This record gives sequence, structure tokens and C-alpha cells, in this order.
Amino acid sequence: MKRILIYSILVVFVVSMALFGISCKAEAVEEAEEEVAEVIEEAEEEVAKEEAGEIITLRLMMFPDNPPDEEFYDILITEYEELSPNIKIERESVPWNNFQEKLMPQIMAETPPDIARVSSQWGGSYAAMGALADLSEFITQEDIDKFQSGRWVTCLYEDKPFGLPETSIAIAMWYNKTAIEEAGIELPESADSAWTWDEFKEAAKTVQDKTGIEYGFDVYKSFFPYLAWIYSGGGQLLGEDLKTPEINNEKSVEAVKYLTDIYAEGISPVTTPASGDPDAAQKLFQAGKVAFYYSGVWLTSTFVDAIKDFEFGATYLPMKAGEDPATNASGENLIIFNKSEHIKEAYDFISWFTNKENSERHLGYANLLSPRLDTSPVYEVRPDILEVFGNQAAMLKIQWAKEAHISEFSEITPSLMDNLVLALTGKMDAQNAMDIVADEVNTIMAE
Amino acid sequence: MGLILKIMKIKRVNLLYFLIPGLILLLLFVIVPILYSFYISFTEFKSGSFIFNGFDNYIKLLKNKVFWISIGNTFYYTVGVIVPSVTISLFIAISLNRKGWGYTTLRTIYFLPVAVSEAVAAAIWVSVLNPEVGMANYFLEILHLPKIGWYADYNWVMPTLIMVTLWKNVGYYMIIFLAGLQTIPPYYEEAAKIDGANNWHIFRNITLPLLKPSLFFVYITSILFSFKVFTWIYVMTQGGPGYSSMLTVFYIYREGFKKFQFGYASATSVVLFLILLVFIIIQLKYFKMFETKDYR
Repeated sequence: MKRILIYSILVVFVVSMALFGISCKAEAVEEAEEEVAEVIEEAEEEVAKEEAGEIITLRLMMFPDNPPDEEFYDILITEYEELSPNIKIERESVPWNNFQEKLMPQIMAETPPDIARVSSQWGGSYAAMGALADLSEFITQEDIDKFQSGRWVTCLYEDKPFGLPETSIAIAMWYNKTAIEEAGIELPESADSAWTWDEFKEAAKTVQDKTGIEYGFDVYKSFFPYLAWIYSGGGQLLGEDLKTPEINNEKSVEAVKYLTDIYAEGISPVTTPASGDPDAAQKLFQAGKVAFYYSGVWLTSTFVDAIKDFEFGATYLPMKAGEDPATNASGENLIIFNKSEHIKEAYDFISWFTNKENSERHLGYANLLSPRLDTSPVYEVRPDILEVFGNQAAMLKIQWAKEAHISEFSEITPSLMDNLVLALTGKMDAQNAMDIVADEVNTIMAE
Repeated sequence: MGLILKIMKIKRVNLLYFLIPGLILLLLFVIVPILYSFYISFTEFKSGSFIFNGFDNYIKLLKNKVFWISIGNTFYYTVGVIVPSVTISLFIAISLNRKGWGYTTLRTIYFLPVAVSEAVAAAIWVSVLNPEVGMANYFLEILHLPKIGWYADYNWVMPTLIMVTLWKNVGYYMIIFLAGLQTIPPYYEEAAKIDGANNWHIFRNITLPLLKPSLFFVYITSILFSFKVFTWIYVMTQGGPGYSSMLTVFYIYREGFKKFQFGYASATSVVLFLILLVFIIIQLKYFKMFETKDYR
């Protein structure tokens, strides 16, 4: 009897729960169905409007430099859609590392987005494939004069513009301020009074010896800073004709040898260039194990959020005695594909997006440099750092901007990085390594 | 008409109706892309078009030092993975082929890495094996042992990749072997013991021969997985340092998607396909899969 009672209570309980669940589910299903119906109705309205020519949808594919950058993209897109109710922007965000792999198949399938934000060294390859729109009819000389010449050249292919510069990126020297002050090091005040290579090496060693910090110096593993170091020694990747390799000339090789010695002497960890993790050096700097870190302005927001255990700053890049201050600077460009059915509307958008007012607001918020000559973004976060990077970016020579923009650049950089790593880790003599790169350049150019 | 009706009466025709959807998918997503890849391997991607260039890509490939390095590394990796995969997973399977909650728990623990996605696992190992700030070297330091460069060391990069691959796959092969072991009737072992056979005799003369189908499956799948490995290289080493972990599939990816040499990359994939085909045919003949033996 007792058992029957217990079982009955259990059955009643389970059935009640089931019925309650069903009724809740029914309610939830009804609500969901209503929401879905609303969304479908809105989508159908938009499709109808688009078919009637009332709404133009532009696909924008981009990679964010940092979270504030991505956030502000959405802000600007919303504002533009309010200003232009017949334009809808569909933004797709893809990480920088995977961007080209995602974009290339679309280009080859002839279904690229209308607009893409690309690194300035990629545009030349796409233009050489005939994938980009010629924007000559929309751009005037007055528009061109608003941009830094070193950035403007990266939007040209055979003298025809295919996009607009959106941001600038520069390389400078991050430093662990706590360790530097403890070691009593005085930093250079300007790019012109930057340290020579020997002075810099001395400073890095002094910090290591006096503070016990594990490494005096490290470099972001990318062709970007390594080329900047080569430029600072008077070297170059290519000659003035942008075809003849100069990477194996005396000055270029000397720059590579200098860096190799720094790794060999333990001032820098040899595991960084050898590692497959491009952020290995950044992680070491963030962990407080590196005194000087050679990398770019895009890390400002990241470091502000991540570094809490020590103070940090940015200073100017060293150069070889007797040479000019150098940097590597590129940036992002907004480009338009010729398969777009709305090239005029796409251009109106990128022109508005990169105008003076929006550039100042966007780049100030995202802690990025501006490629325009007439803007002064107000940086809320670490304006001192952005000032250093901005001054360093001004050291860019046109030749350096041009050589990173040739259509063959994507083919050259893997060989450059492979052989730089072999040289920097002591596996190959610097001259041999750069000779191999030069041979590769000649082969690519001959094809 | 009468002939058609006759054919339709044959039961096997019904099977075709079930197979056709799968065959269509196979054709669209496997056969056609493979054939297109063959076609592209004879072209060069220039100015947005594929231009026929004969055997130039193949000639360039055969002369390319990095390609041959990648082939050598792929074989090194494959052999390095297969032998321990089979041995370790078989050993674990035999050890855990018993009843009891402890054994079930251990089987679950060994299988857990299989459930983690390869990209996530690789990202975790990048942190753990970070030569400067990773946990692995931290423990080595505590034990007063020298730090290891792991994936950032020319000599250690391939053993590191083999190690993480084994960690990931041993559980899967263990399950295959366990399933195979459980199909072996227990009275074979009992009869052998009565006849005085020890564990080694039982393993060599009864267990191993009856596990041949499982062994073959594990062997072939580990070869295929090893030749196709990509995620570990992409996340952990990018083919470096230098070319010391450049495996062929990553080389194909780099040539195609980083250097936009699609024709050349396709030619490399065709050559890899042919090498793998020869390898598998040799293994098939070795295992004599279609030969059946009665062990009763």
C-alpha cells in the first residue's frame, strides 16, 4: 500500500512537471514564432525594397585592429545608414591572420565583397589580378593632397587609384618603463636624436644587468619590423626600380648580422624568431620579461588592458650611426572591387568613412594613426605613446612604402621570413640567407 | 520493355536508389574538386585567370628544395606517429580490456583528448610548451632539468609535434583496439592456457592475428591522418623554425593561400596524392586484407 502511494505521488509529480514544461514550451514556442515571423516580414520587406531598387546593400569585409576599432566601425556604419536610408552595410569581421585566405576564394569565384579593409601591402596583388575598381572618376587631386604621400601610393596600381587610405601603422620601440627607470636609462627625445644601434645595445644590456630582467630586447616576428631594422641600417629590400633585389647588399646584410649577434649574445630570446607563434615576443613583454619590444602602434589598447604589473611607454627606433631614422609604416586601406554593382555608392561610403571628422573620431577612439595630413585625432588613451608613433611614422620614405606595395610582395615575404629566421637563429650565415632571398626575388620577377 | 522490367526486378537495383544521393554528393564535393585540381595543376594563375603552362609546375616542383624537405619531414612525422600510435594504444587497450569501474574511468580519461578539437588542443599546447613562459619548462626548472625549446627548437620541433599528436590520437586507436579485443572469443585464451601457453604466446599467436583487421584500420588511418596533418603545424610552428617542421600539406597551403601560386600548389597536391596512393597500395598488399585465415 505504502509503495503504491509513493509511486502514485511520483507519477503525479512527473506528469505535472511534464505538463508544466509543455505549457511553458508552448508559450516560448509561440513567442519565438512571433519573433521569427517579424524578422521574416522585415527581411521580406527589405528584399522587396532591394528588388525595387530602393535599398542598396554593400558588403564590407574587414579585420579589426583592436576591439575599440571594431566597435567604432559599427558606430560609423549605423550613422551612415541613418544619413543614407537607402544604403545598408553588411559588415563581416575576419581575423587578420585568416583574412587573405577568406578573401582570395571570393575573388577567384568572382563574388568578392563590395568593399574590403585590407593591409596596404595586399592591394597591389589584388589589383594585379584585375579585381579592383578604377576610382579615377571619383577622386580629385584635392582629395589626394589630403593624404600622406607614403600612404597614398599604396592605393595606386599603374597610377590608377583603387581605394582610400584609412589608417596608418608605424613601428616604434615599446619599453618597460619600470625597468628602464630602475636601470637609470635616459631615453631619446625625438626620432632625430634616437640612439644608434650600439647605444641601444648598450642600454638593453644595462637594463638586463642592473634589473635582472630576462631579456633586453625582442622583436615582433614579422617582416614588418625586420624590414624596419634593415632600413635603419641604410638597407633595402628592392632597388629604385622595384625589381632588383637589394636585400643582399652590404648594408642590408649588416643589419641582419647585427640582429643575429643580439640573439647570439642572449640579449634577445632566440626562441622568438624560431617560434611559430607570432605573438611570442608580445607575451614575453606583457609578462615583464623584456625591456624593449620592437613592434607596432596597434598594440596600444591591448597593452593598456593587459599590462598591470609595470609601467610602459614607447620611444624612438635606433638607427645605425650615420644613417637616417627609419621605420616601417603601412596601414589599412579601404578598397573597392570591380565586381561590385554599386561602385559609386561604395566610393561614397569609403569617402565619408575616411573624411576628416570621422577619421579623427574613429582613430582617436581606436588608438590608431591617421594617414591624413589634416587630422589630429584626440587620443583618450595614452596620447604620449601615439605621439611617438606618429613622429616615427613621419620618418617613412616613399621607397619603403612602394616596395611593400608591389604585386609580388606576398610571394617574396615567405622566403624573406624563412631565411631571416635561419640567419637570426644562427643556422645560416646572414649573407647566404639574403643571397637566397635575392635569388628568389629574381625568379619571381622573371616570372 | 520486358528487359527493363526484368532488370528492375533485380534487388540490387534498389540498392542503387539508396546510393545515388550519396554518390551525387561524393561526385560534387570530392571527385569534381579532385579532377579540377588536376586541371589547375597544369595552369598558372596570372592577372586573375588560369593560363595553361604544361608541366612547368611539376618541373618547378621537382627542382624545389623546400618541397623535398617537406616530403622528408612528412615521412619522418608519419613513421614517428604510426609506430608509437599502434604500440601504445594496443598496450593500453590490452591493459584496460577488463571489467571494473576503475578501468572504465581510465578508458574515459584516455579518450578525453580525442573529444577536444585539434585547433583548441594546439592552442593549449602552444601555451603549455612556450619555451619562455610555458608550464612544461617551469616544471623542468623545478626539477633542475634544462629548459627545452619544444616547438621553437630545430631539434625538438618534430618530436614535439609527434608527442602532441600521440596525446590526441592514442585514445581513439585504443577504442578501436578495445572493440577488436572484445570480439575475440575468450575460450581461445582459455584453451591456450590449458595447453600451457603463457601471456606472450597468447598475445603473439592468438590476439595479434585476430586483431589484424583492427591493426590494419589503425595503421591505414594513422598514415592518412599523418600525411594530411595541418592544424598542428598551422597553430604551433608555421613550418618553422626554418623549414624543420614544414610538412607537405602546410607547404601546399602556403604556396596556394599565401603566395597565390594555385597551379603550383595543385601540382604539389597531385604529387602528394600519388605518393600516398603508392604507399597505401603497398600497405594493402602487405596486410593481404582480402586473404582470410581460419584460426580455429
